[in-house]
Parts: sequence; C-alpha cells; structure tokens
Amino acid sequence: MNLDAAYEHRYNSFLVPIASKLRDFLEELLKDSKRIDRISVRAKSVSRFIGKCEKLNNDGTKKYSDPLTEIQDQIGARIVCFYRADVGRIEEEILKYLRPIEAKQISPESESEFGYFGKHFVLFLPDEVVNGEDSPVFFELQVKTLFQHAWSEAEHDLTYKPQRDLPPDINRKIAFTAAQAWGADQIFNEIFIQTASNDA
Amino acid sequence: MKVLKAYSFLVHPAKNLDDAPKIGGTEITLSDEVGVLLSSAFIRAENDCSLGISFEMSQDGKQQNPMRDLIVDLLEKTSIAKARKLAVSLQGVTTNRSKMGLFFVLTGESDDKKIKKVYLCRFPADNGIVAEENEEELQVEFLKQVFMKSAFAYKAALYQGKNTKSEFWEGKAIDKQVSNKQLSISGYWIREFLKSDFKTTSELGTKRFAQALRDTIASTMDLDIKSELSAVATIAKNFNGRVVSIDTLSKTFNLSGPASNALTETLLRKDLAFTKFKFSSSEFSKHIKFKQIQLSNGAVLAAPPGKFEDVFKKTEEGTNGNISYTTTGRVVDEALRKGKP
Repeated sequence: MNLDAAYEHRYNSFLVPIASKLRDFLEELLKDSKRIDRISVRAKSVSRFIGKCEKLNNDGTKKYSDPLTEIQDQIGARIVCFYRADVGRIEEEILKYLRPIEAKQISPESESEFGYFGKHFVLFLPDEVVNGEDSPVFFELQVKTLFQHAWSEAEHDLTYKPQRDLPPDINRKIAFTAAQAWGADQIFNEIFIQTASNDA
Repeated sequence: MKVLKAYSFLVHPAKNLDDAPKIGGTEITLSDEVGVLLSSAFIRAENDCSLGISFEMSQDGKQQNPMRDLIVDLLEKTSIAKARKLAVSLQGVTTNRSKMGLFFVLTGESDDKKIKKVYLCRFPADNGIVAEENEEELQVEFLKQVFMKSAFAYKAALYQGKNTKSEFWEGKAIDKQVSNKQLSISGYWIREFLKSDFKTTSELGTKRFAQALRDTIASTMDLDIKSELSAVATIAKNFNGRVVSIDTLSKTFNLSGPASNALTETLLRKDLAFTKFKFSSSEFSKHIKFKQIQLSNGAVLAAPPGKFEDVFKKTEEGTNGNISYTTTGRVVDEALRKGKP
C-alpha cells in the first residue's frame, strides 16, 4: 500500500473517529472552566499530510523518513480562550490529565516583529480515545486567545498556498494586522486583570 | 522475540558522591545459565511489566529526555560502552537506602526484525545461605552479594517500538516496591533513574474510576450492585496516594462478580480496568460529591459519600424491607427542582 492509500485508510478508519472522541474528552475535561470560546479537533487531511511529507531539511534530505509515525499532528486540537491570562490556567488543567512530550510558546523570533503567537503542546492521546494499532500515539494541542486564533485563521487562509510568494506590501499589511491583534489581546488582558482585581 | 545482547553491571550507591566507584561490567553469554534466565525474563517482560510509564519532556519544554536519548543511542548501535552509560546513570541516583544492585541491560528484536526492544532490570544485593548436603553431613555457608529476582525490591523496565526517532517515549515497568506502597523508595527507579512518570496521571485514572462508578450506578437497575458500588465510593477516599487499577480496587473492595463486570462494562475500553495510576482523593471528591438514596415513599436523601452514614441513621423497620432514616440539623437551604437531584 503506498503512503497516500495508507494514510487515507488511517484517516477514515482511525483519525476521524479519534478526533471526534478527543473533542468530547476535552470538552468534558474543561466543562467547568470559564472563558473558553471553543474547543475544536481535526484530523489532518490527506492532502495536508502528503504535503507535509514532502518537507525537506536544510541539506535537501527528506525531513520525515517514516511520516506515519514521525508526523505528530495527525490529530490537532485547539482551545480558544478569551484572554492571555487564561492560557496558563488552561495549560495547568490540561497537564493534570494528559502527559506532554513537548510544550512551547510560539512567537516571532525578533521582538520587533509581529506574527504568529500561541502555546503549542505535543501530548499523548488519552487511552479513552485510541482505538487500534494504527492509531497515532500523540496529538498536537494549541491554546490560543480569541485574537491569536482570529489572526492565525485569516492569515493561514490568505497566505498558505504552496509555491506562492506574496508581494512585500501584502506581507507588511499582514504584519500590521498581527501587531493590531497583539495590541488588542494585550489591552483586553490588562482590562480583564484590572476589573477582576477590582471585583475581588 | 529474541535477545541479541545482554550486559551486566554491579552498581554501587553513589548519589551525591564526588568519587563514584568505576563500573566495569560484562557481556553475558546467552547460552549460559544466567543468559537463559535473562532471555526467559526478556520474553515474559511484556506480561510482567504492568505499570505504564512515559518519559518526561525536558525542563524547557523541548521534546528531549536524557534517559530516552541513552536508550535510543543503545538501540541504534548496541555496545557495552553504551549500556554502561545506563549503569552510570543508575549509580548516580542510587543511595545507601537502595543498596548495591546487579543491573542488566538486554536488547532484542522481534522475529521479523521490525520491532526493537530494550529491557532493563535491577536485582538488589542481599545476603543468603547456601546449603549442601551429602550422605554424611550438611554444610552451610553464608553468602554476601546474592541477587534474587523474587526479591521485594526487584525492578525492571521495558521499551519497544519500530522507530527510534518518533517512538520509545513510553514503556512499561515493574516495581515490587510500588506494589507494596513504598512510593518514596521506588521513586528512585521511575522518577530519578528513568526520568519518567506514570503514563496515566493520577487525576485521569481517578476521574476514570469515579466516572465508571457513577455511570454504572446510574445505568444498572440492580439495587444490590448500586449498593455495592455506592459503598465503594464511601471508602475509596482512604486510598489516596496508593497505586491502584480499577481491577485491583474491585478485588480490594471484594466486589461481587456482577458488580465488577458492570463496572468494567461502563469503561470505553475494557483493558482500561488494568491501567495503573496513583489514586487521588481530591480528584475523586470532585466527581463524586453526593451519595443519594431514593425510598419507595418518594423521599430522596443526599449527603457526601464519606458522611452519609453519619448524617443519616438507618433503622430497618419490620421484615418487609422498609427502612427508616433519621437526621438532625438546622435548615440552611431549600430548593424547588425540575427533576430529581
């Protein structure tokens, strides 16, 4: 069976049902948690998976020699919360129940840049949702604020096209929107903290 | 599965010592008696090692663990030098309390060569007596440095997989001290040496158990099963910190066959009944806040499980199954509900 067919079989037989169960699992886990806008879980589509398989290292060699076991975001989950102050609280709650092998804060490399922000984890799938030998072991979890989510969704929709370079003014406008989203996120967070302490 | 290489090292306590003893080690001949014993343990390991464990990520959140690195390095090119690194690591966390141990490192593969396997085991040093008898006399001799697999403090860990780059993040362990509740001592094998933790967190395992109890009581029509499982909820909180599985809890509470089966049927996967975790009373209380009894006269009584028998005094009335409950207190709240609480 070639890779396309193997992944398509895994996608239909395992990944889609696992994604559905994982969403239910996370929703149940966080049902009493405040200020969560949404929890979404998706199985990586066949076309996106095959696209990722083609990634190369800097030396031109293939990044994934065994993509079916090495690609860890075949199941991807996202928790969107209201404010930055909520991200740590959600992280703490999730890590009580799920074991991580990776946790990283994603942000632009330079402090003078604006772009993608978010907290990413690679976690063991809970046993409740795994259903067979061809199930993946891990899933990727992103915890984002509303503004981080909104910016990343629109940016991905507009710019994620293989073999397409965007002109400089569009790249600059995208960076501008990232800065605005960051600013709104920052100010809402400050207002939340201030009003929460006033209410206390 | 077959063993490819086996190495043995004597590991002295050396935690916090500047001048740790050097570790030599030897390769075991697989056809010798020791080799045959180890090969047998290697093949049985999957059944013997019942505690699911997983490596911890690095402190800075990277996908990296130093013990996993040593194991992957050993698998990619097996040698006594690489196996010795594991022994040195073990020595660095061994205290006088854990004593000297004989440490074995075995590597192997499946018959189709697709799955690689590493088995680590430690036998503690003990004293023993050898007795030899002939027709005329019995000779007894005291032996130091005897190492026995059946010993109380025997430890092992098993890792297997196909891809050393992406797998080998989880394994299985056996730790007889864990089974006997001495977590602080055995923390040295799982936490300090293997740099791992239980794969099923305390909160997840406990939540799974509490939900299974609640769901089974809600779904069964059998009052005896409801009563048995309800009693479990009352005393389960006393198990805080103990390593359990749903199966061992069923046996410890002496659940009847029907009650135990009903509990397992509620689980999303039946094998989850055998998954080990550390019981957490605080997590359990989050999911089971009230015990509730409904009487034939329509009365509904509710109180926290641990307090129910203190709050409600029960008296059997006659022989027709009627029960009388009495309670005393001040009214602090009253409510009208749409459905049964």
